[in-house]
Amino acid sequence: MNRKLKFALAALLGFSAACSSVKNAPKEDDGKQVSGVKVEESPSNPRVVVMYGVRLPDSVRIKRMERQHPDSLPPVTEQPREEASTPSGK
Amino acid sequence: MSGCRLGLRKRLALDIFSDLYASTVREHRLDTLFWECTLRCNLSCRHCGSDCRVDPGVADMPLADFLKVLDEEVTPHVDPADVLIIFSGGEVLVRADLEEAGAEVTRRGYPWGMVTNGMALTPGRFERLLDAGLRSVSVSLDGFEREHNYIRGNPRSYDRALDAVRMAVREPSLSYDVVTCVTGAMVPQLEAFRDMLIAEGVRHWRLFSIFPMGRAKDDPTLRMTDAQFREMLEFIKRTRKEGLIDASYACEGFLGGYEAEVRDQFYQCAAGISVASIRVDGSISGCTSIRADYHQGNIYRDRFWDVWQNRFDPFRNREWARRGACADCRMFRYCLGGGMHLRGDDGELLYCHYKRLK
Repeated sequence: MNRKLKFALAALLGFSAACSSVKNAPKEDDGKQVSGVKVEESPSNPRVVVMYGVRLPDSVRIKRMERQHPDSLPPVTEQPREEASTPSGK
Repeated sequence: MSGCRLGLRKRLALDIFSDLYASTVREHRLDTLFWECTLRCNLSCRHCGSDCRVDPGVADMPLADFLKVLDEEVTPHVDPADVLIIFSGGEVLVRADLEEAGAEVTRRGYPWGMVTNGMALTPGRFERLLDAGLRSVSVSLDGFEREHNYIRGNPRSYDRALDAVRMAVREPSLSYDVVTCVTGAMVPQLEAFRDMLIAEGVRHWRLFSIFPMGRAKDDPTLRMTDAQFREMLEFIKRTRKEGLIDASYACEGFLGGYEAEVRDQFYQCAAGISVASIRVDGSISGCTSIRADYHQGNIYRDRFWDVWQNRFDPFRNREWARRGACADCRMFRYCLGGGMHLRGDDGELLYCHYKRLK
């Protein structure tokens, strides 16, 4: 089973973000339609914040996503994410 | 479904994740490199995992030694823009050459961040660190003034940490989070503390609990009961649903039914998979929380890249951990024996988060 199919199955189960990273994955609305299932592609190396680690800088995360999945990001998600005044949910 | 019970849907997802994780392990692409640049510290925290102190008796690693490893052993094999360098301690701000270190790392194309207690973070120093390319900071804030100062052992530590948080929050170019060590005394105050953080404009909050290492292992005031541990996880789950602050439990420990509900991802220990550390004495390890028994080499003796590629088998093949409490546990397939930092000198598991939830 290839990686893409595994992510598709995880998405079917509602755990695509958990199998990658919410912070790294494109927003749900940006997912591709494959057989009626929204597929969120993820970087091949989802980053985990280790206990004494720090958050991945936004610009670095976006750059990595662009490099690893150049076709998966619509223009709107390629823009650096701004810290909104009203935090969004998970 | 929470607690230790895993529903079928989550179990299936964990099976898929385990397959994906196995390929990540095979690839073991380095994306985070800790530099434990000092063991000196301007505080003496009750929970310190490093047992660091004002004079630890261990000299700081010279910047030139770290840069030599970067230049000769790391840069030729990676895209520097993809590897996050994290300065860790001790307390990194006690190093007078921290700005120089940051600037040199930035000049080589690496993003870098640091973990700090905030004691020595003045506005002027903060500006200089930003000028040196600081991209991400984690500030330790362990509760309200009384709890924080008790843990940190300094009456000014809360105010200084809060000042540091405010600086980070107001700097739009910086990624940040507040890191809180949750003790039993803190559990009843979590909601009020969360509301205070939100009022301060904090959007990213990481909570962790004590594991038996360093000074913390001998201090019962720092621990939570099993009921309090569960209460904390319920709080995080609830807070995430409310969506007013990005709260998450730290990367340690498999959490059964709480998986994917208190963190963004399923549990995994990235140490030695995508995370490496260069300790203050030159030792090469996974992450800085892991005890010396699991060091895989030393930069003063070995080639870092050779160690990373060829000597991290204990981190990448965890079958050796299937012993003791883990021998017959049905969750081993998902947790692979827990975080490497939870293994004692003899390889036995010191602490199991999943068992606490039973």
